[in-house]
Formats: sequence, C-alpha cells, structure tokens
Amino acid sequence: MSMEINVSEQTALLIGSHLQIDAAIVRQLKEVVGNTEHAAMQLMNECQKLSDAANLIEAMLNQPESSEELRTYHQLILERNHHLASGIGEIIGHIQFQDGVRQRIERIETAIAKRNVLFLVFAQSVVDSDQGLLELPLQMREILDEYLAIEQRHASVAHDQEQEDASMSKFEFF
Amino acid sequence: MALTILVVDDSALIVRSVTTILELNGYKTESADDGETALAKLKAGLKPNLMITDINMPIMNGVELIKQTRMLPAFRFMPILVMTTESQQTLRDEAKALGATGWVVKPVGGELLITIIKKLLPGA
Repeated sequence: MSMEINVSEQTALLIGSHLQIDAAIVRQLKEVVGNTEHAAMQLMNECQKLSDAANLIEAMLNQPESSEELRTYHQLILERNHHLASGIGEIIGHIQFQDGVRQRIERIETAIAKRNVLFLVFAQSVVDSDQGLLELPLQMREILDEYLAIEQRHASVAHDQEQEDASMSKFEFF
Repeated sequence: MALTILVVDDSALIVRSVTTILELNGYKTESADDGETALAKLKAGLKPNLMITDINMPIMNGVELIKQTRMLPAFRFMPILVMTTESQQTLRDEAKALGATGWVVKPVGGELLITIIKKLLPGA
C-alpha cells in the first residue's frame, strides 16, 4: 500500500515539473515576441517623426517667399522619401508576422492551460485511485481536437519567399 | 485632399504598422481597437473613404461591424476591406454577404496593401 502511494506521489511530482517546464517555454516565447513588438513600435515612431518633418518642410515651401533652389531640393527629398516609404512599408509588413506568431502562442497557451487542468485531475485521480481515469484519454483528445480546429481556421504564419511571390493570392475582391 | 482610411484592429502593432504604411503613402488615418469604437466614430461624424477591419476582436467583432455599418445610410457604399488571419470560407462568405468589399490575409506588406487600396479606391 505504501509503495502504491509512493508511485502515485512520484507521478504527481513528475506531472508538476512537466507543467512548469511548458509554462517556462511559453513565457520565454512570449518575451521574445514582446521584445520584437517593442522594437517594431520604436521603428514606427521614428517613421512618424520623419513623416512629420517632411510635412513641415512642405508647409514651409508653400510660403510665397520660398526660393527655386529650395523647391528643387524639396523635389529631390520627395523622390527619395517615396523610395524610402516603399522600403519601410515592406519592413513593416514583415513586422506584422510577429503579431501572427503572438496569436499562435496565445492559442497554444490556452490549449496547454486546459491540458494542465486535465493533468492535475489525472494526478489527483492516481493518488485517489479514482475509476474515472478511463475517461481522461478521451478528454485529452477533445482538447487536442479543439486546438487543431482553431489553428486550422487561421492562415499559416510562415513567411518565406514563396509566400511573398504569391502575395496577390492572399487578396480576394468581392 | 488626402483620403481618410479607418483601421480597426485590437492589435496595437497591426494598427500602428498599417497606419504607418498608409501615412507614408499620403493617406490620412483614423483607428479603433474594436468594432464598437469604430461604429461610434462613424456615428459621431467620421467619414472615411475606406474602412479596413480585422475579424476577431473583443466587444464587437468585424462581421458585426460590417453588418452595423451597412445599416447606416451614409456608409452603404463605403468600401470595407477585411484584413485577418482567418481563412475559414464560411466567414468569408458571411462577410461578403453582409457587404464587405474585399478580403486579405495578414501579414500584408506595404506594396501589396497600397495596390489593394488603389483597386478599392480608383483614382486615389
């Protein structure tokens, strides 16, 4: 009897440490994505300042006393800004990929949380020698199926050249 | 006169990235982080030339926002672009039936987004 209890306690401890490792991995992943999002926000703040500066120059040029040299210089800046805007726009598109990753991590986290509850019930059932244990595999299957169904509804967040090339196929005009 | 685009998404990162792309290309932008806030802005007098909306949002989702927007006479013909990670065909069909103008899957690069907007707003 004491040996059975010992095995049950060991099982419960093993499940507990497994859950802690999962939680740590998800936490770290969220931190990485969070840091990238912070960097992306900073980049976009800088873009906003550049855009504001360009608008200010434009407003100055609209004054009647602006010289021809200044107007030529402004035209040059406008052309370069257009090129820069195009490049920045593509970088920002890549940044959106991070948001897709964040959403996927949240979906995984939800599934893990549900599974953790089930594992804890399992551990308690082992300790209590509960006959309801037979239903646990089915419940585990339900959690997995639910996660897979939600995941399937979302587009892949893969971000490779092939996807870039097929970009217009992502758009449907009704 | 710059055209105004209303961007509706609960992700601050998406709102910021899309509005930055739009502003760099000469558009004026407004934003809301859920359908209810967007609808309130429209009812309060905001007159965007185009609305870009996500589907999965708290309080009021994108499908309900499209439905409610189309009930407002002033916005019966405003183009509405759905921008989402959702790929479910039934949701697409529902959005289309309710009056969405187009559907694009995130993430969307700057060049593609501007190309789409020019299709939705000819002459912009």
